[in-house]
Amino acid sequence: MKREDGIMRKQRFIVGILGVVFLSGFVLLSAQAAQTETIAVKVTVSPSISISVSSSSISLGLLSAGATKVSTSAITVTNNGTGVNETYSLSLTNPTGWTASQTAAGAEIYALCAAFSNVDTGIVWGMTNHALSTIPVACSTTKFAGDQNGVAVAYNATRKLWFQFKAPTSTVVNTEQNISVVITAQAG
Amino acid sequence: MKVFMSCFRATTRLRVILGGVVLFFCLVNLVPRVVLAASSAIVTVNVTIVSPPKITAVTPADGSFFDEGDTITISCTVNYASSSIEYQFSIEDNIKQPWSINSSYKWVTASRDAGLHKLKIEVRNIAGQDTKETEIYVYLKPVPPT
Repeated sequence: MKREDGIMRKQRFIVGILGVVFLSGFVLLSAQAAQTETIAVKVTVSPSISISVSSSSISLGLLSAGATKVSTSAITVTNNGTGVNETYSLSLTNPTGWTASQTAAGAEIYALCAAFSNVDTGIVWGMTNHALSTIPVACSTTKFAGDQNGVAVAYNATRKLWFQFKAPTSTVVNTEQNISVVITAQAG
Repeated sequence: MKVFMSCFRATTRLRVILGGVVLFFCLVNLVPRVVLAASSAIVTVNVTIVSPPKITAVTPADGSFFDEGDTITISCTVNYASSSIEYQFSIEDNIKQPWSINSSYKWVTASRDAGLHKLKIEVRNIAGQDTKETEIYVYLKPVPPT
């Protein structure tokens, strides 16, 4: 009888253990079902710098020596990069036989000024802030500025670029001259 | 022995710390950085500077003779060829061909034109202008005897 009791006790103990194991497993499974996992999504944004111009050339036509002329239309410059502000720099390349000046026109010396402005009528042209040179100069709130400027131009924003040309006071060149103006965009 | 062991532990700890620092800097330098290249566009500004034109020669030459009925071509040579130059031709100050890019004028003479005539040729562009005059003589053709 005692032996049977012992066996019974052992069986109850084993059943109890199994029950505890089963329940704990159930609890664990239930706990796992309620858990949340975190997935780290890593994205690398690669912005790009780009600009476009509405026209690759602008004609000032025929001028006499020593004349001054403002372009009759503007070039539209657009920040068509992706997701970054752009600041523009301007420079030019001299045509053969002529040299750009940042002070005044002279014999075989011309001056080409540039300004960002919605309209040309309000531009106060000045050699100090508007004359282009062969060395790129960054735009600022005064450099190449009219009622617009080329600083921190937002994505998809446009600027209108006007030119003023001061012809050489004398020249032996009577054929059409082509002056290349380079607009460089940098982040910022 | 204790002193030796503590020195050994301190040295090992220092090496681990230094190694960690070196590893940190290496990892920092390995992080890719986005360097944005500049972009540029070119606009060409075209301009032509013109000088005032100068007449270097006139046709017909001063003192030329013609017969009535002849067609006289009046023209000139300018110091440089340019589409920007305009011409005007007059006879006795009467404009026969007003300002245009045509560089010559044909005058068909008749018997009523017999005599001395002053031809005026003018050229111009936006920079200035030049004028030359020449005198010619138109003869009546002799009438054959009937």
